[in-house]
Amino acid sequence: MEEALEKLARHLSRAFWGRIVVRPLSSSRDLEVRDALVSREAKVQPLRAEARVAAAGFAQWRRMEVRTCGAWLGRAGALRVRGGPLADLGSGGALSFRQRVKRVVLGWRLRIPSETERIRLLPQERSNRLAYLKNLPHPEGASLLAAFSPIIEGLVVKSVLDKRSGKLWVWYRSSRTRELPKHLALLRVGADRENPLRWVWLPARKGVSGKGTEAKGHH
Amino acid sequence: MAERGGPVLGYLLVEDREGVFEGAALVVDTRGIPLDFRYTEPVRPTRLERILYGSALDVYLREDVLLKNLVESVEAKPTLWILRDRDLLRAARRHAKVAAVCLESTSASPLDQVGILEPQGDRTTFLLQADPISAPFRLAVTEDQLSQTQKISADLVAAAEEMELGEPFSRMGKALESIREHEPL
Repeated sequence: MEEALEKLARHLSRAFWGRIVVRPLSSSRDLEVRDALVSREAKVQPLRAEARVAAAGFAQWRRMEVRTCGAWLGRAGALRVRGGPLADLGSGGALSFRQRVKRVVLGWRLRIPSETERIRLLPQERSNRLAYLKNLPHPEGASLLAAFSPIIEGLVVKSVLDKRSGKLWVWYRSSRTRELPKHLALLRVGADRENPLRWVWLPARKGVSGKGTEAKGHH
Repeated sequence: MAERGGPVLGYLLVEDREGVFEGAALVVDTRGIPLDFRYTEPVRPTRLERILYGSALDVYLREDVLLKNLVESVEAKPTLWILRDRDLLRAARRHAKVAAVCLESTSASPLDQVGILEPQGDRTTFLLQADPISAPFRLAVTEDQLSQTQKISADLVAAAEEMELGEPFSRMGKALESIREHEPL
């Protein structure tokens, strides 16, 4: 019956609307759509179990007696871990460190050697005092180049003029003497062209006058 | 040793070279001839000592360790100790049983007469014309020695007749250098 009615309808539509057969799209031919995305979600798994420390007893030092860290670590229950104790420390303190208190000795023990003989080998230095001794009496015809003072002539073993510093190095012997110190002057003597420089001892004390005696052998 | 019983001068030197402390004491007669020379072996404070002593370390080492031991160690006892470092003067006076002064060379014009003491800025500092052939020295004493200043200056003038007053410091420096070369730090 239904088929006959459909056939009649088709006949009538062809008669009134044309000869083209229009068929409805059947829903039985649904397309299958697949997900073509290639990206993947990476899942990360930790290799070791996560340990979270809830509180550490030794960190509460402000209210406690000051001792070494080892003492607090060794105290039973000092270290608590979320979810239960990390280890049973016990009252003996299985994890405690050995306490070793090192005493620091303060203060220095000095060794003070004596080197008197060694320093006796060093010469004394005398500076050039010419700036203060410009009016020093000296032989006529000679000009003063330098004057070193005070020097005790009788004690001098050796003297050397250090040309770099302009100072005179004097080695003394340690013998007794009542001799007064003098000036040792370096003079330029114009008349002697071959040996124009002379060392001359001149008296140092006020009131002691003289033209000086030539210094020999030391320089 | 000295024929004329003049003053016996003791020179004190304390140095700090790159954290190493050392010092020396030289006692001479009025001719400058050494009667006694002592030096300290170098003192190197550890890091821990530096932390524990803090800013007091420098003063403690210089005054109470080096200076005190040097003053006590010399056998030829001087009648006057001479220093270059004014910071050590009070400590030297405290440890020594005799007078102690600080003596510095100057480039000031010579004063009118040998032996003149010209007061400087404070009560304890003077210019002293020790001899007629050099610039005056700057002489510093401690407060408790003000009454002895004339006696001290007279001793210095007497010594300056036969020696250069500041010269022994130079010799001490050379002696310490020589010792360091043979006993490297």
